[in-house]
Amino acid sequence: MKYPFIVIDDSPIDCLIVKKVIGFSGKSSDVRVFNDATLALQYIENEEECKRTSISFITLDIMMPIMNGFEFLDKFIDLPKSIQDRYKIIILSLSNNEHTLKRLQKYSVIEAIVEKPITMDKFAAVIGKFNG
Amino acid sequence: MNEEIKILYLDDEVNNLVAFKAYFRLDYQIFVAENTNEALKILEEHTDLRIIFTDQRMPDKLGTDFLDEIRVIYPLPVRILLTAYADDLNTAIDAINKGNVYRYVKKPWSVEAISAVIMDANRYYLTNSLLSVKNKELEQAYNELDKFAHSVSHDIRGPLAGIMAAAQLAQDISDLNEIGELLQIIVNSAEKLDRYILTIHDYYSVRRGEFNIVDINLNTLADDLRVMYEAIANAKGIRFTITINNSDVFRSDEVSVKLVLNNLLSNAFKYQKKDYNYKYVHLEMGVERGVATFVVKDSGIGIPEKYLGEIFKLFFRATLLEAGSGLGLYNVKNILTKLGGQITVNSVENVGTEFIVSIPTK
Repeated sequence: MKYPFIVIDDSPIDCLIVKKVIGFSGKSSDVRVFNDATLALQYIENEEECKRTSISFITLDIMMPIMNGFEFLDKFIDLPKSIQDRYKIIILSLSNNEHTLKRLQKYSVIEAIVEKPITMDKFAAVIGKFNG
Repeated sequence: MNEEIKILYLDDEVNNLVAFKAYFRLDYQIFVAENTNEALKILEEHTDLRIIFTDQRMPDKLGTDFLDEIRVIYPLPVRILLTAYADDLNTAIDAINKGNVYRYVKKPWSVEAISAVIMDANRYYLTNSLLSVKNKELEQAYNELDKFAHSVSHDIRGPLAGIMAAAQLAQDISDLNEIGELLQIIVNSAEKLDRYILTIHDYYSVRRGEFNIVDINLNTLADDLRVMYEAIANAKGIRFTITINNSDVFRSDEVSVKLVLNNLLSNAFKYQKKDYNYKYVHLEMGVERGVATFVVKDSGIGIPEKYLGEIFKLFFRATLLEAGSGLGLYNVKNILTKLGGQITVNSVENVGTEFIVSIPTK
């Protein structure tokens, strides 16, 4: 089964790497990249997207200017349940210290937390869970 | 006369005030008050008052009570009590022990006694205020260190993680074209890391603030900058012009001046509008009446008004459009403060930005 992916990361280099890892995994139907989390949120909220019923994956960076990962999550959990249920959020971040992890625990919408650098193995371990 | 040393004398006996002022006005800046309200007004207007003398027995309040009250709001001035009554001795000792009073002087006072107390109190004041200045500096350094520790994870580990991920990926695949792209990612990440380390280096050289003051020739400076930005101007189709208004002698630290201009110019080149046919960066400079002025103007994306107050802060980034560390303008502001200079910014979104820098010649 192949899934649509949304990559949210302010660093273009990191986006490129994540895009490649997703591509090589053979698990993606299409990949959309957003350097600005506000734009990703707009995309998720738009009507055409809301009509889709299949599951999509979001990889989300935490430390970003303008809107950081936490701010994105806060907005995301205010969206209608029908939209939230369509997405599996994977945190993809450098700063997985205890403080950050503790804060992330409060968000039940998070499916997995992966520490950068991303590798094929780490990615496969997370996505593998949904192949059943 | 030592203008810097401001002294307040509070006493309900006008004769004492007059005598005090007559004796000491040539050596210090003397303020006198007949009652505590007047004294409070003076304290409020002159926050740099160093020494307060107060009589103990006044109709509206006891001197020790007054000193006790003002201590919280005005902790810096050194407090001295004057009294003629032996009965007050215990109250005075009590006040000294509580830390409300630095010295106690017996009335009638002699010029020698007061002079000696002023010298002592002033030394005490200077030590204390130096300590509080150093404390503030230490606090700021600590806060910056804290921010640094935080940003290191993002700005140094970020590119490193990019390199590690791309290298790992390259090992896992065999397509040569893909491997080529991954190598490019590695190169870009390494360059990003290198640039970041250079700005950190700038940050520390600014902090150390060791300046080497030399004559700076604006014509030579302009030539250097033209050579430096020729390549990027041509590559990005940006017109780069420099005008020199008049060039009196300008003495300053050349490395610092270049650091300021390079930060402003590279920003001006970096944050240009994407599809715009008349891109330009203009630098205007001149020295007049001992002050050098540099104006860097661009046809860039501009800075939203709500961010104008924030751009000189450590690790602040207003946009995602280009890679920034949030250190550049902070370094600029810091250098200018150390050189006694100033910076102002005017910006209109989607029209352009203008930075105006003035640096007094040393």
